[in-house]
Amino acid sequence: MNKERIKNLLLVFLIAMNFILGSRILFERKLWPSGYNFFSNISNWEITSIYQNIKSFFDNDTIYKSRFLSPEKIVINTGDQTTRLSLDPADAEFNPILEEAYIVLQKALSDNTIPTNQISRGEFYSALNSSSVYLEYPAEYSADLFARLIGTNYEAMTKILNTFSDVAISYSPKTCVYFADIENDIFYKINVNKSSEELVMRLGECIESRQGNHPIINYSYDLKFDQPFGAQKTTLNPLIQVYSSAEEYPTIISKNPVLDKNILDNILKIFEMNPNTMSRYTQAGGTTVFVENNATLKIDKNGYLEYEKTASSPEVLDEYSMLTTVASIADGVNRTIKNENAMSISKTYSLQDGTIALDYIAGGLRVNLNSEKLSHAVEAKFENGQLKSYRQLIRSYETTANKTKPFEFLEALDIAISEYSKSMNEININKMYIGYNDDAELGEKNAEWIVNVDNVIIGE
Amino acid sequence: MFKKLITSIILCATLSSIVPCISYADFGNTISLTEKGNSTNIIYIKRPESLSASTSDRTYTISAVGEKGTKIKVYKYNPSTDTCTIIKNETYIGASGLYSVVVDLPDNSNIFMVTAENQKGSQAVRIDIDKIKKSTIDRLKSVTVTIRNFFR
Repeated sequence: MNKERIKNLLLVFLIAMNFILGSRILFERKLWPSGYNFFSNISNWEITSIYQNIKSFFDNDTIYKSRFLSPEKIVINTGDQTTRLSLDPADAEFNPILEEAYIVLQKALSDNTIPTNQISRGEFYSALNSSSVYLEYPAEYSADLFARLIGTNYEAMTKILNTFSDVAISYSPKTCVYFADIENDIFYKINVNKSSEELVMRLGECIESRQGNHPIINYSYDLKFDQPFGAQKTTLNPLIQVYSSAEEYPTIISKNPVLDKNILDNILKIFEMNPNTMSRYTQAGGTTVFVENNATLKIDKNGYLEYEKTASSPEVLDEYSMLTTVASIADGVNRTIKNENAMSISKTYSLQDGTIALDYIAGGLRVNLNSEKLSHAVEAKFENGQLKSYRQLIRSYETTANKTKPFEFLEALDIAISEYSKSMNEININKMYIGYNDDAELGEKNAEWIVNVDNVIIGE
Repeated sequence: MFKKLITSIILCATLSSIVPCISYADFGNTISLTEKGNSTNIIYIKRPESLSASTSDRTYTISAVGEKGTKIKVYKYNPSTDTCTIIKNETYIGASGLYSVVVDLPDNSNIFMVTAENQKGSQAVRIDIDKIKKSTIDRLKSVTVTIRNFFR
């Protein structure tokens, strides 16, 4: 009898809970939100997300390579300044040449003992002045990280190299790979006793197809702009490329994608937050806040996303895992909002202080974000190998048919330097490249020169 | 006595205002190969460092540094007329103090004159660029390597 009563009470309780929870879903969360589409919702089914996860697992290598190992520029050196070429990721030849360059790098770094020679700066410059290809990376890499990203023997590589920022492959008469740490004046050369015919063929095709249709390029060291003389106040990083004339670049349009409920739920899942159990509220300014246990996610109307985690987990991430974690979150967010713009690691990333930053790439050029809240598309902060915060400005950029021509190189440099105080004694330009400046305002953006100043000495 | 003093002061003042104007003579569309200007520190040629170079390329980039506002012109020597004719019209050095110009190398022996003018004076610098075959340059490079190996 008692048993029957308990069973009945349990049944009544379950029926009551059914009505309470059901009504919460109906009245608080809305069962059929505006814009609900059954067919688009199929993509959010669990089985679809399993498929996506399996697919992204196999794609990860490519994704990480493209985020962290893609150079900003490939310079094809022919031995002559007239025929020297520069390619950015929007150029059709960029990826095929890069693939072949990676194969040569893998060949060079695959052995257990890598035969290296430490060489002089002059010998590195000689390689750039002969038949070679120069890969200009946005950031400095540790040998361990680079080897793991490229998929070679990282233990052997860390024995010979520490950090480097520039890579070159010379292919005539012999194939050699060069690693340069310009700031610390350290240069290494590795003789590759294997063929690089495919790379040479790709480079040859590119040179032939672009004959006479490009500005003349000199490295800053060619023109001695890296060496101060007398009253010369400006010096340039030796590997900055000085262009004889300006080229045309497409105008882009910056858009703030609409984030509906499905998209928001998917973003929550990326941060391992359960859309059904966490609590949410909207702040006065329209910012939606999601709170679950020890994590908070905020998304404002301007597309600014901020995730903060207060709890720590036992897992401590190494350098490589920190990068792949950020890449996988960024890819997840971008995939959810159907953003096809690539991202690339920023010059300012520093694993020593646990900061990783990514920038959007639009039309093959870097988007230099300069908003009140963020200086990069993605900024992630790690503490003791654990993700503490992740911030992203959600944007998508469309390339238009309109084209504009930025200032010529020296004209742009003069304008940039004019902005500094008249009492400036010395200025060192670390990086100078064509990109898009984005102040987080939506609309059209023209390509322009972006000048990164290393240091300025102000005198009387 | 006082009159003479006043006159000499006025004379000095007039001369000091005229002299810079005389020294700031504008270079025309043609100049002589022997032109030097009246100063030697208006512009400093960075490339070619020794004011002469050899290359197998069909163009060459001359680079220089100078003060902001310095007017630069580039001339090419024409042996048939024995004069230098302007090939790059006036440009002004900007706030960076850096200047570069790409010149074509149509002949085996090419002589250029780079002129610079500002309120301090004028200067003309001769630059010789010889064109040689690529094979010659490669041979020279291999000789350098051989010599270097010999000393090791």
